[in-house]
Amino acid sequence: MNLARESASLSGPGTNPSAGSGALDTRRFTQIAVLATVAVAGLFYVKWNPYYHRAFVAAAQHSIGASIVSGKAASAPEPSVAAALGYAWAYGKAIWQAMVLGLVLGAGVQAVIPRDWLARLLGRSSFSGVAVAGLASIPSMM
Amino acid sequence: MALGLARSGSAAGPTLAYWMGNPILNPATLVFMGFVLGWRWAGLRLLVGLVLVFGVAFLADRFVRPADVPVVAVEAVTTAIATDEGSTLKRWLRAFAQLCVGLIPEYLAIVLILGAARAWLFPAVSGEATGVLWTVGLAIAGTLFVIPTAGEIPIVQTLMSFGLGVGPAAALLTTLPPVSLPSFLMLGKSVPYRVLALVAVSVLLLGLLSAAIAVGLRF
Repeated sequence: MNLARESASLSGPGTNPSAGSGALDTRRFTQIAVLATVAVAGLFYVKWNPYYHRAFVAAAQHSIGASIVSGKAASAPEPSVAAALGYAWAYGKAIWQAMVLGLVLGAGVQAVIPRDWLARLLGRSSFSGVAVAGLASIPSMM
Repeated sequence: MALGLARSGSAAGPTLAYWMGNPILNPATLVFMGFVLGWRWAGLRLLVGLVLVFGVAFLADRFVRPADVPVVAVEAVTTAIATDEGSTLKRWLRAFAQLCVGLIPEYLAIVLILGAARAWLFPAVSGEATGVLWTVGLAIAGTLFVIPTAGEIPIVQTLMSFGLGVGPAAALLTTLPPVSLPSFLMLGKSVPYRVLALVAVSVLLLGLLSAAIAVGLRF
C-alpha cells in the first residue's frame, strides 16, 4: 500500500471547486475508488490477514496470548506510574496500526464522501440507518 | 471512524451502531472466543451484541429529542461549509489533523489513568469471586475500562483460571469491548451526553443479563 502516492492522486490538477454538490463526476468517482482501495488494503493488512492466522493459533493452543490487565497473574499491578506507562505502552502497541488506519479513513470519509449520501444513508432516525451502520461495522473489526 | 461519520452528518443511532458493532460483533473475536473459551460463550456474545448494536442504537436514536437534532445538523452543515473549500487533499489533511489533535492527547491521558487504576477496577481474583457483588463490580469496571480488539478473551481466560465465576466472566465479556471511558469522551463531542448515559446503562444491564444467562445455563 503506497499511501503517499494514493493521497497525492487525491488532488489532481483539475480540481473543480463546485464539486461539493454530490454529482458523481469522474474525479469524485476516482477519489471514492481510491478511498475504498485504501480501506480494503488497510483492513487486509491490519485486520483480516493477521486475524486469519491468529484463528489457527487460537484453535491449536486455546489461547491468544497473555491478559493485558494482569499478564499471567491473578491480580493487576498496584496503582503506580509504572502501571500507567506499562498499560499505555501495551495498549498502544496493540492498537496503533488500527488507530492510524481509522484516522486515515475517518478523515477520508469527511473529505471525499458527498455529504448528502451519508445524510441519506445514515442521517435519518430510522432503523435502516442503524442497520446499515451496524452491518458496516462487521468487516472493519476495529 | 465513528467520529468521522458523526462529523459528516450521520445521526446518533447509526453512529452508535457503527461504534459498538466494531468490537462486539467482530467475527474474528467471535472465532477466537469459540476456540479459547468455548462456542457457548461465542453464541452468548453474538446474541448480546446483536441486541446492543441494533436495539440500543435504535432506542438511543429515539432518545435524541428534537431539540438535539439542530445542534448535530448545524455542526454538520458548519463542517460541510468549512471542508468544501480547497482541494480534496487539503480537506483530507485538515480533517486528519483535526481528528489527531482532537483525539490522541485526550485518549492517551485517559488510557494512562485507567492503566494505573487497573488494580482497583480488577481486584485480585480467587475461587470465591463468583457472587452478585463481583458481577456488578466487574460489569462497571468493564463498561469503563479500555482494551484492544479481542483483549477481553485473554483477560477473562486468565481470571477464570484463578477461579472467577461464569457470571462475572460473562459480565466482563459483554461490557469490556463495546464502550469505555475514553470512547464516551470522544463521542461526547458529537453525540449528546444523555444518549451516551443511556448507552452506558444499557451496556451495564446487558452485562448483568448475560451473567444471568451464563449462570442459568450452567456455562
